[in-house]
Amino acid sequence: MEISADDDPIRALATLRDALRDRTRDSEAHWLPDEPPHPWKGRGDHGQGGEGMMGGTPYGRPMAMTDEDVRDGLALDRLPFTVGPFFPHFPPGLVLEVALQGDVIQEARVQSTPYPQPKPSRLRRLHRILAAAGAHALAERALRWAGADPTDDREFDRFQRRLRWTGFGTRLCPVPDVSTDAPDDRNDLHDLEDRLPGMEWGRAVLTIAGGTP
Amino acid sequence: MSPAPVGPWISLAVLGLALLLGAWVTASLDRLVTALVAGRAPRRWLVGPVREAARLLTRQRNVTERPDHPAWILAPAVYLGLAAVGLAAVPWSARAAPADVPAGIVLWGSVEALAVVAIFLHGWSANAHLALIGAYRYVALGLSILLLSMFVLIGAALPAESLRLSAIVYSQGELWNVLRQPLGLPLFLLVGLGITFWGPFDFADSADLAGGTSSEVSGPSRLVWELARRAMLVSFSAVAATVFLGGYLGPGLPGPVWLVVKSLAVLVVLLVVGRLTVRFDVSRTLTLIWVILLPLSFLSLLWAGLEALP
Repeated sequence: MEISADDDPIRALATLRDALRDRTRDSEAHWLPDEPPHPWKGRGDHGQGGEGMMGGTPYGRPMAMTDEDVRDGLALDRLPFTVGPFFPHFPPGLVLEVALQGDVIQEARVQSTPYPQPKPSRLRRLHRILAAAGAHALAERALRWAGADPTDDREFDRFQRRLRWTGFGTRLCPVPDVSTDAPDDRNDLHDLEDRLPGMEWGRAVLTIAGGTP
Repeated sequence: MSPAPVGPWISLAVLGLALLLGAWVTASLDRLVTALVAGRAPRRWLVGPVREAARLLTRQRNVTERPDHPAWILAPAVYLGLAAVGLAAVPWSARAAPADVPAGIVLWGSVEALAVVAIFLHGWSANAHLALIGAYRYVALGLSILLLSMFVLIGAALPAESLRLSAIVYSQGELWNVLRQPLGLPLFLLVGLGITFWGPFDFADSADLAGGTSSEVSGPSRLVWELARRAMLVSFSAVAATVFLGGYLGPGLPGPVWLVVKSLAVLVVLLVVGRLTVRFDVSRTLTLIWVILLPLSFLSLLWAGLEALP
């Protein structure tokens, strides 16, 4: 499906969604051939021995190989992959190349920064972090309450204090500080490359969801 | 005394209906709780789950690259089956129980253990990053809460001097286990949140993994998975009500009615906790379980043992 410059992208997307749902249109064919990148080549009479299954970068994706561990010395597979640009709790446009060991980030690289958009208020940051922490109902409540008076500091503090009863911001669910609006500078996200390694995936998502402080 | 077994067809019919109806009630109540926590009027909380189910049933099935097809299709069914097995061990009244096996507590323990396998397989077989992380994370949690569950349940079996669930109910005639062993039910509720990966312990299908083990699943498979998760909540609630709240015991009303009322109470507590908490940090949760909750469960067992001394 192609969208030209003067089409309304939202309507086009809605039509596409409906067509997929009603099955009047099929999903796209697989981009990459579904074949083993390195077929097993046995050398012996019964196909035993041989080489060629490990390593390499089949279909542009590096194979998982063990590597030194940043957490406890247990060497696990290093699993590199790319997240974004539309990962649910990342700012739209952010593409991260990460290498994970278990759920610990070993290496992170910002491939592209988020698209330009208005900087999120502290309430919207709160909403995003709550949603990323799986508390969808509380996240909705934060937004609903935001309609009242988003600038009232005392109210905001009270809401945050009450949220501690849910585990939010306690030792069991550490979150970035949300008492201020997010900084305007999108390049700030570049220091993610230094801060993410060693972090567990869950905490990393909460950090990014709130925008870097 | 031991209740008479119910005929197989009646058992199957009642269990199937209880799981289906129970899953629907769970989904409906969850919508209600969500709306209350979010501070808005509930929207279609009774019809919503049915519509959602119909939508999933007719939706296209997503296929990843080289998934483990048999395991991918079987995992939700196994999880649903385990919920059914667990519920089957629960006695309905003093006279009727579908499968009152001599080691009912052990049967439930095996349901919990195999649930870990089913949930891991669900994430593993999709052959996708986020699903796999969910699966690994869940195994770490699942193994830890299994120990917790074991200590707590053995404690409940001590006063009954039996592993049979009907005997455990019978032993609560004078005093329910929730009062006799005050640490038992709170700890067991945490186990329940764990085996249904609900609320603070949602490590398998969590938001930060865009759905985790079910992130790549759509269509009928997804429907069975979501159904199984709610059915497991129902099954767990019934077991918790039986082991700690006296099961079918109660004045006036018939036994099965008491069982349903008590199970619903446990279910509502789980749903409210689920919506009022954020997902906990994975490694800190494991520290919490091993350093604080496990010793507490051991203390609870010790308490139960001393209390059961003649």
